[in-house]
Amino acid sequence: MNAVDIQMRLDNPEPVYLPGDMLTGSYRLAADDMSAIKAVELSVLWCTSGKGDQDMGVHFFEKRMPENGLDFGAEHRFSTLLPHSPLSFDGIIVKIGWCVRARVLVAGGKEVVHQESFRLGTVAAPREVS
Amino acid sequence: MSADQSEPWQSGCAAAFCAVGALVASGFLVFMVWALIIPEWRANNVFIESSCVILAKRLAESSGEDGPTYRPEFLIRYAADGKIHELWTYDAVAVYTGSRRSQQEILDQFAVGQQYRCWYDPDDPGRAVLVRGYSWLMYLFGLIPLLLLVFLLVGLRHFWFQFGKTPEMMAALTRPAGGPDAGLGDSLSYVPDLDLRYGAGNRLTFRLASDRAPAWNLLGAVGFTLFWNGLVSVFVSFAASGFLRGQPDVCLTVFLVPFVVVGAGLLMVCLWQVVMIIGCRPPIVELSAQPLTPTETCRLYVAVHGPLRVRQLRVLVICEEIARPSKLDSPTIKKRIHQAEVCTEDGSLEYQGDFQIPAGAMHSFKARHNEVQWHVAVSGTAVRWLDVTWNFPFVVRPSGRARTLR
Repeated sequence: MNAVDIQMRLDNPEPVYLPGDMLTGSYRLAADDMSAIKAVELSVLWCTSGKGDQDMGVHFFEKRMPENGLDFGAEHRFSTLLPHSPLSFDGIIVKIGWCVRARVLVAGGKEVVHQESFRLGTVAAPREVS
Repeated sequence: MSADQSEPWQSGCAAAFCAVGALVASGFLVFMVWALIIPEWRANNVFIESSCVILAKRLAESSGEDGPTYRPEFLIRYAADGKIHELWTYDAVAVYTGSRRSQQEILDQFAVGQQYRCWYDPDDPGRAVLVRGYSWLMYLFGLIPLLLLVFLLVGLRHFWFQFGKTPEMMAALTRPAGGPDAGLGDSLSYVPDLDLRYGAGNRLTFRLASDRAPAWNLLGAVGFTLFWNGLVSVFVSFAASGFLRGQPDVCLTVFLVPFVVVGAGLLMVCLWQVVMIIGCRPPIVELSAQPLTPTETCRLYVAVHGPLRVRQLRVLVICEEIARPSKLDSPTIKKRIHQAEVCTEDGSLEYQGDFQIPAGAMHSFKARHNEVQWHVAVSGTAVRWLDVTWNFPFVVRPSGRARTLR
């Protein structure tokens, strides 16, 4: 089995961003057999959790394929201007979380996912009103 | 770090299922065109009129799993292409039906030895029909595979689009455009648009629209009531006819009681909807500004008008989380996370007050299954016991960057 390791780093040590901030970071891959990696997808996205079914929105998406002559072992930098909505929210039954997610597609249909979470905005956690 | 195994075969299998189903439905449609539509169209438009003599007639019978089926057949003699032809025929498509009586009636309309018009195929004079026309009922049945084909093709397109794509790629390809520009371009995604159906208010800048559509509610209630009571009335008529014959079916009557009670309840719901539309028209709710942002103060105007007097009136500004599980048996869940009373009953028909969106409050958010909704709730009691509530959603945007319209 070909183990794939994804090392990801966000440049901002405090994982709280404001709308309109620039999010920057980098990732690199390590694998026993780099040729088995078919593609890498990097997304900056939000997704919901809680009582409802999951909603997801992708703000930034980038797919890298080996035929582009890329070296997956080298550090790859990314940056995107963060949007104004939706803001991170720790609601009672609706929660919205942001993350940078790397998905590595390996030969044979296997996928490896790594994500780094961050907060967008400073919305306070609500309390239920009876 | 987490690893998971995606299952792209699921959308692939679904696409394959849709493709096979679409092929079967297409085959059925092609067969229908070949066996029904083309023969009837040719008989109506290409066949040449002639005259024939009926030499014999019979009721043809075909036995199947569901019992025998019938169709009329006539032995006719006619001249075509310089030759005399004899054949058993009736119409262009030899369809058997289950009703013996109706087919016998057709048979009785034609007398042996009499002369009638007939139509023969110029490409094959040995083929002829005694009647022309279209089998519209059969075409209606043909709509079923047609609708199935459309449904399967839509499914095929959907699953084929998904095939081989990750959830993130799917979301990136289907992401919506942002809301109306408030100085932010398309960066305010998933914040609902301003509802400007009612446009400007009389007292304040914006008039809000209620999230309820009483006319549609009434239409839905009337439709369902008609369907339910129509179905129940069939069985009630069976039970009633038993009583009239002096042979009452007690079991059926007892069985029908809860269904009749539900039907009566549905009629009451319809009546309630009519009372709501005529007696308790939605109040007028106006805001001084929209969209709002946290820390912003806004003026609110509410006017209630009858004809039924609404008492114990309360006007609240509410923020609710709304979660919609997709399972059919799971109801929508709501949790109230902010509530501020703006004004209460003081005997007048008009109310004004100010409210503020708290600092750090969540903005309006709307996705497919999850929502954060801000609204003005006007509630009260009509004719002493009817509780009525109207909700008037408005938009709160993230603070700092949005330009508020005043």
